[in-house]
Amino acid sequence: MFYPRRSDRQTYRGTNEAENLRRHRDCLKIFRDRVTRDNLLDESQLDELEVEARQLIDEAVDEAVSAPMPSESDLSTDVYVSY
Amino acid sequence: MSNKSYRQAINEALFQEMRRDPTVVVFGEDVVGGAGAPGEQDAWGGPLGVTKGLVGEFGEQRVLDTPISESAFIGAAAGAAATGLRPIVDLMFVDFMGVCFDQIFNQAAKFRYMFGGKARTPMVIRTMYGAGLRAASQHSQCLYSLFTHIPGLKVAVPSSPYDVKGLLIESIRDDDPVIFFENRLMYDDEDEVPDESYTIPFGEANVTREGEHVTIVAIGRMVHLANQAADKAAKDGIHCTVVDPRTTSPLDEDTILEAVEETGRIVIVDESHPRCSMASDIAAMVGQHAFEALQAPIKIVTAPHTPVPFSPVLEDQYIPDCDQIEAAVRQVYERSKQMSHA
Repeated sequence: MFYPRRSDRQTYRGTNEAENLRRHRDCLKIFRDRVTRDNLLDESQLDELEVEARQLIDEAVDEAVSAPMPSESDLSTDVYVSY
Repeated sequence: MSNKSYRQAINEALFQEMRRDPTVVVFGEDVVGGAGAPGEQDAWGGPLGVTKGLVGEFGEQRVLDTPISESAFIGAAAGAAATGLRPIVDLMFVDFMGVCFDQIFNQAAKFRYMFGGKARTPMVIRTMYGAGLRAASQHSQCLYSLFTHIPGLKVAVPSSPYDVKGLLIESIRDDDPVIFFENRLMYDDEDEVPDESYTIPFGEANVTREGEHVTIVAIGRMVHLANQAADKAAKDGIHCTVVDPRTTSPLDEDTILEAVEETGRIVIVDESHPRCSMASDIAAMVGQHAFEALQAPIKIVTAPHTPVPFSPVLEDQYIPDCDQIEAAVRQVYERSKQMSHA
């Protein structure tokens, strides 16, 4: 199920348009079908990758949430490589 | 006359002009705003509710949803304008103008000049600008100076519900392309707005405060902060004239210069980056034409030369605030006293 954000309720979309796309044109699903069909990876390897990716994201979120707030000097950090 | 929000004032201007002139059409992303959708989503007016109800009265011939393809629908607007319609196109965030620069800078802005004065391009591009939405660097910029730089374009930056209605109606009736800047943070601001139709001419600044000591020129939402800063400084006997240019192209140079002649001191407040900004543009103009009147160096208050940060803490530091403006006012005032003793 796909839930549009409140600020973009996607009323301009046709009935079930997004759900149909998710069902039939989801590139993650297409990728999974293709690599398993061609025996490049099997389901368990793909599941493992997914777990790894989720873990990585959870760790990154935890790290970001527990990090100190940025200071004023961070305003101009990474605007350029050198200036 | 009744109390209306900035959003309602825009909506009313659109209704009144579409009723008055059948050649006025509206298009852009989600401007139909869910008409025909079930329940409360029916005709809610798009993500910002600004175009609410238009399709119900004027139909889908005059109110059109477009795909997310700015180069196509801005180009279509330029062509429609050059061939007899008065399109008002909604380009949600000014940050997205990059994808249709050619249609704006090289086509719409130059039709009249390149076709030997034979073309008119009465189009309005409504767009949002400004930081404070927690929307990060690609949805928060104040790019009015980019458009002010281009001959052939007119640029409006209305700061109040009254001004937004009058300037939008003026923009729709104007025969040149107008880039119309709306600040998302002001959509719920309310003020007295006449029910009837009215226009505010381009290039006519609004003086919101009059004082003898310091001139503050402020753009868009910064006008409110400038007024607050002026009120605070007034408690210590420093009285400010606050000038809201209302349009940056054309720019009401005379009103700014007259104010500087009277006060001898100027602070310019602009939420955009300092380089090649309205602040530096107005500072240069004052330096050239009112140098003898200045009792202290010109001071500008702007955002820093960085993109708008995503961190809420940094974003709050990024946007010029009332305290910074008040400090700048005090600095030019004090500096002028030191200079007169030197």
